[in-house]
Amino acid sequence: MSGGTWHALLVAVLVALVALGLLPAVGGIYQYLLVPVHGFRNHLRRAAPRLPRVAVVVPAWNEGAVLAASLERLMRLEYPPDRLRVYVVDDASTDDTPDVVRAKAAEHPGRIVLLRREQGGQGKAHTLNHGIAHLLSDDWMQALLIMDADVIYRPDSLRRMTRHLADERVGAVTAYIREGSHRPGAVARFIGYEYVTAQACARRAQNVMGAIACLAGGAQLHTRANLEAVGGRIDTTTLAEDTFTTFLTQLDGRKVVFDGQAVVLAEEPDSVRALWKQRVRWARGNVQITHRFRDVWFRPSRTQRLGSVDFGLVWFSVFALPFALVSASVGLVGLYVAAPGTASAVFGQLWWFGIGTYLFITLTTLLVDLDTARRSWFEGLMFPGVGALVLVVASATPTFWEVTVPGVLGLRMTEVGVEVWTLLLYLWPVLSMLLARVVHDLEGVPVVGSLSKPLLYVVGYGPLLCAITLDAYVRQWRGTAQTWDKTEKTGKVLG
Amino acid sequence: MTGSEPGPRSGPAWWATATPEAAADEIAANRRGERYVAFAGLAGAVVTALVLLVVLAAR
Repeated sequence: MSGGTWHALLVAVLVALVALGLLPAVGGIYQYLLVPVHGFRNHLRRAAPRLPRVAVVVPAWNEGAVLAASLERLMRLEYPPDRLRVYVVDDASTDDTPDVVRAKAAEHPGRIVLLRREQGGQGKAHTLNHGIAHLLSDDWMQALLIMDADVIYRPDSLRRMTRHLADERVGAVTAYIREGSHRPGAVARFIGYEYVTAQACARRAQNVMGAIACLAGGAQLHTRANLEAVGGRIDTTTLAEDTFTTFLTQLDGRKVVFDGQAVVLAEEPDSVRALWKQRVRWARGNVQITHRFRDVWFRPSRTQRLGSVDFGLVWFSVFALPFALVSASVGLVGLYVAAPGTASAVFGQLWWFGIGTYLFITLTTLLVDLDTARRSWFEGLMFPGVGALVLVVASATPTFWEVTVPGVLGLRMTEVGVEVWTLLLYLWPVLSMLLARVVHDLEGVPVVGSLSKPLLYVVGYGPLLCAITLDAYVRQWRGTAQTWDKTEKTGKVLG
Repeated sequence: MTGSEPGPRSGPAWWATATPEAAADEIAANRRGERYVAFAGLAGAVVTALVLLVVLAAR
């Protein structure tokens, strides 16, 4: 091949890398296109009044600060009291967790039970299994609700979940976990918005697809039959026990349903460091799930939809996000070096995709949950980060940052300045992930620590999640020891 | 939870009685309410399309 042919091939590969970087966004758009479909095609048409005897299992390790409120809310559920029992599995807490539970049990005789593991610290799945083994030992339980100690159930939430069990094909139901901190800071507000996208919108789309990615850990209702069919216990070998159970349920031919009108409030971490720790665990768990169920992906089946092409596209869109950012940057910078004209042309064509994706997803998300929008609208607008928004504007109007803005300030950008600026724009997807790590490292450091939050808005929450995910992949690849970390909560939740 | 409480036979207070009639009414109301997400998604799409057209015209 001639030099010209090699060059053309290189340019084609680099353009393909840029295109590859857009794929996760395509997966996101696909999910959002299904959201309106859920308005008319949802499982409520098969729901019917159904109030089974529900055993609630609450795993608790040093949850004394938050348990009283969540137990009290459970006792106030609009659900027949004789059909609801709560079992708190104390994982050898060293705080006042047992005392709090005993006090509540005394207030509500026969409705709250304390189960204690003398040797704890093995993780949530082991704690749950202790409770599940106890519950399966008699016939009282008809359905099992697994929740977290710090979540607050709205009075109508449980019966809005159980109504789906009227459809005998349903094995499990999950609710909408909404961020509900009493005084949310920046990180909690970002999480609030994220939960609308990842749950209220994505789970509705997955309902339409017929495959749910994950039962929320704090709100998963199983039929007794489903629980027994998946082995009567929760998997303890991965860091994503919720997702594991979700997959087992669906692979066994039973449906998993999300009800967005069954709302549960949760207090989420309000620091980047706590978020990083929590999400590294989640992302490593997803790597394990992706590998464990490797025979499922893109293999359509008549009995389940996890293997469908669209669900695979959605799953791997999230999985590949950090690689997509790297791919886009490598492609653009490579083009800038190999064929500057093509780089400029490709970048200039991305404006409609950037603006379209951003507006469609942001507007729909804000509209779907107006309560969260009132609290987190600014974080919604800033979700991709100021840097990414600058990038989109640069793509739409190339002269805006190079000519118009400097002109307003009475300045003129030099040729070197234009080159540096262009490279900065092309490198931004990767830079944003590196800066996300800086946000993490700055937090809590005396004096400069206050820069962490403003920098988070510049970097964006989306790139922060990508950086965390990349870190998780590296840890998983290196085989770093996996530990179960508890996210500290204060127990101050709205509702 | 007996369904014998006085009050309107619609809305959250009625649904809270959790009688089969109230629960069925709540399901029907939630089905109607769920149509709102269709509006949300379509509104998001329409506004996005309009903005893209405006930007296209302004370029």
